[in-house]
Amino acid sequence: MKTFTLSILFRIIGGERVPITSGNWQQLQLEVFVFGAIIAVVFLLIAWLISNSIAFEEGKDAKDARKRRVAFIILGVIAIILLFFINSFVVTENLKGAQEKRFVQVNVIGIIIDALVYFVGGFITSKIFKNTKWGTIFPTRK
Amino acid sequence: MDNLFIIGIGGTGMRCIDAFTHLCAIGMFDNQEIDILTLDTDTNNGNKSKTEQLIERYIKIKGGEKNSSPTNNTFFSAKINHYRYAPEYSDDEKTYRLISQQDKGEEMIQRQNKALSDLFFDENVQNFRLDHGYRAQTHIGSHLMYHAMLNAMNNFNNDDANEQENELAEFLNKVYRAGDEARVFIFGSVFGGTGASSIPVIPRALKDAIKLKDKTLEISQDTLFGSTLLTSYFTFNPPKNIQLKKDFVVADSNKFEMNSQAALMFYEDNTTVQQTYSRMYHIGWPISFINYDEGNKEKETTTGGAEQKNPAHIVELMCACAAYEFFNIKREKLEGHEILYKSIEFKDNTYNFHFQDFFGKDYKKFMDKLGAFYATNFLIHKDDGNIKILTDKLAKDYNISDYKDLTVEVAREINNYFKYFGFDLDKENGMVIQGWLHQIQKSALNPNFLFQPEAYINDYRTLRKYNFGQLFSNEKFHFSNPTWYRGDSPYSKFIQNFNEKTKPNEDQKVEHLPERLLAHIYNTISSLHGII
Repeated sequence: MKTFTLSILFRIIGGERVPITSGNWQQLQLEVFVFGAIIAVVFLLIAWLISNSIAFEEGKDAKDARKRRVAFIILGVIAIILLFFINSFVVTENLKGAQEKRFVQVNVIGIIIDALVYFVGGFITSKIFKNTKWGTIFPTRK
Repeated sequence: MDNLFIIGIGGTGMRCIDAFTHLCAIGMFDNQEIDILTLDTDTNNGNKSKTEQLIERYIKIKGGEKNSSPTNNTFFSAKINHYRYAPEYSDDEKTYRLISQQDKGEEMIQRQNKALSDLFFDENVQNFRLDHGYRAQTHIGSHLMYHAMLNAMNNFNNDDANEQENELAEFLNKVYRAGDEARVFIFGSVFGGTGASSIPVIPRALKDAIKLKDKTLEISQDTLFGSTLLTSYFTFNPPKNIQLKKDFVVADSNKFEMNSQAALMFYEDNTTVQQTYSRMYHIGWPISFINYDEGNKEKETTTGGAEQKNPAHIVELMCACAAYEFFNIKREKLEGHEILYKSIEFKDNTYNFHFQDFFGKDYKKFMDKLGAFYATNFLIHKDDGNIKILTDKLAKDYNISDYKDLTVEVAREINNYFKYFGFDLDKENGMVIQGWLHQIQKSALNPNFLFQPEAYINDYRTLRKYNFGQLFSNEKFHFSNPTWYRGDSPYSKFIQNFNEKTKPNEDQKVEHLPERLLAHIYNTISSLHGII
């Protein structure tokens, strides 16, 4: 069985110049998409940790749920920006001419995957764990 | 399961009922239906109205007398039915002389009646107003209470009964219907007026009153009677001559100890009492009597009325615990007549109370329930003293909408119950208003009374910030240990654990929304404490 690794992307991020041919272009594309999803999952974990560190607050004006929501959104935006910067300034550096232009589309799809995994994943897990601090990010208001 | 009846008589009896109601509220009487009769001669007595208000609040929280039923392993688990009775002394019938109608009939009969009355009662005793009770004159009190109860039953039979006489008749009927499964426990002091007068005659009065309804009716021979023998534990300003001239007879707390001694001698010897009562619990307080008039030496002796609202005392809790024992002990063990007492460890000039001292082998249940109930008092204060804020927040932010329909009225009753139980925080004046438990702790003269001393602190800011996750001195039962870098506040821990796992289960038999909410709160705190 062939194992999937992010070898091209990691070598580029590591500063190595990797020649991109029509043979490994598909591989790079896939790696960028998977990397977007990984960033989303990592940031989801960070958001979950931060969410758990925010205590339930007392009183009528408790803001803990809002704090968790804000932290979740900010981290989601950071995840997108981070991916965008890595793709735009690190990966694109490695590309030339037509490849560079074609990579814009890959970048956008990667970001969409990142955003989808982060926000949809956040929403679904929030509903699954609705009676936890994480659940307060998307409250069900009946 | 036996049918349980409580009769609280006089000011002390009322305060014992307070303690008993709190035991019901914390959940010590699971699955029980209890009929409570509040009996006092002083209709406007502050203690009486306070107690009746407390019971009514309890009933409202349960969902009303008609709609509620007993629940299991939760707060407010017992179903309480409340009956009130007070002999009518506020109209024309104000004194013994008037009630006994000595001045009616032919002159000869009047003279004979007066001579007979004079034989038993002093002139002053015959002439004092009865609307503030029997004022420690037990010889006339017993006579009058017996008469009043039978008179009430006569009025009921003649369709001439007032509301309270109807309630007494209903209570009597319940005792009768309970047959050989009735257990009646009577609260009252042996040193004061109304309670001390009534304890010896109440069982007899109940039996004779039911016969007035129908000669063939009889309260079962197997009805078990129990009572407290509560000796003196408080003082107040002695009456001055001016007051004595005005009121004829005023209770003097300096004589309470002597009264107690005489009463105990009577109870030990009297065969009627021995045949009637299966168990009598001798309860007393030998050190530092609480002075109800402390800091007010010039104040006139309070004979009764709305002004008489005394703080709670630990002996009243002991009386309520005696009722618990009486209701839970097997029938076989209640044969014959027994007077019981127990001692508490006395060290360094103070009593060291432990949970075991109150409930023996059931102490863990008491510890769990009392701890959870008191923690709920703190919890409510964290939300500005309003449980509705918590339920709204649960629905709005925390995905728990089961309790969003809690009405403002019921929320108010719950809030007030808990504030009256533990403490209230007066935000405007930055003050702690001590509730029942705080008063009990104060009377026990031990800062470490059952919980950590900080849990009773009389300072607004400190109590507001108090970590109620550390109520018990044993760290094993702490559920919140926050440090600057990790850990949640007790409030946060509570919300975290207020989830599906701690939702009320079928065994708890909770139906109404407030009951479900309180059961959910109990389950959550109980699981956090981890006592049982």
